[in-house]
Amino acid sequence: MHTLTSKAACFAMQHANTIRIVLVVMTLAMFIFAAGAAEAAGTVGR
Amino acid sequence: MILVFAVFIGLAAGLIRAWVNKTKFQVPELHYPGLVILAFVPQFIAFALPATRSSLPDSTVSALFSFSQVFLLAFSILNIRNKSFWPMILGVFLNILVISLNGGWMPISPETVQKLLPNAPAGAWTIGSRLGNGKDIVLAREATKLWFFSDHLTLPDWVHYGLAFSIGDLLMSAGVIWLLWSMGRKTKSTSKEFSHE
Repeated sequence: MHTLTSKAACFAMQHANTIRIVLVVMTLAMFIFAAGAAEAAGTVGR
Repeated sequence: MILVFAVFIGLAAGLIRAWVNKTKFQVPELHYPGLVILAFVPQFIAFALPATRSSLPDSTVSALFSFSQVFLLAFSILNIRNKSFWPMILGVFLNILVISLNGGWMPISPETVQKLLPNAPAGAWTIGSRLGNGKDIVLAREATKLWFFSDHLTLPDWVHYGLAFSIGDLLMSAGVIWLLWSMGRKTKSTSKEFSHE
């Protein structure tokens, strides 16, 4: 368990910038989804 | 949902820019990202999740929708120091303004609906009612307050994708693309590094 945690921490440190990029991109995608128009047409009659 | 495509455009543009500038893709510090999650989760339940989007009453969905917009505006304003958030703030504000002036939904004109759904069966949509399980309400242009900022823009015919969107949506997408594009800019240290070579 301890080794797993250490490995995870090591991975997070090595890929910190990539993880931050993914988080920012996900935040922006959620922002656009929530703030922008939705495809209502596809749900008409369903 | 297709507006999420703006994120991919911006990401691709920013990554290419960073590659051309031979610099690291820089991540901006976003303040209070939890506000976006607070706005996203109820909207995902109300508009996207098939199990819930057709079962929730319109009044509940409208309230969730309006409430979540406030979180988005707060998030944008709290990140105002980043200039790419300026069009996003304006876009969210315009959308909130139109939505709040038109009963808690984004208005769409019957003409636009006809363009999006030319083969819809009779009675599939009616003026004054919500359009499907989306964020729009069908309102005649004359009955719409601030029509210019409502969902009256559509994609070109050759795209073959039925989506109506607003000026506010365009501004938000532009802001997101700008933010991701700016992540690939040349840093001062990189410029110095290369000027020494």
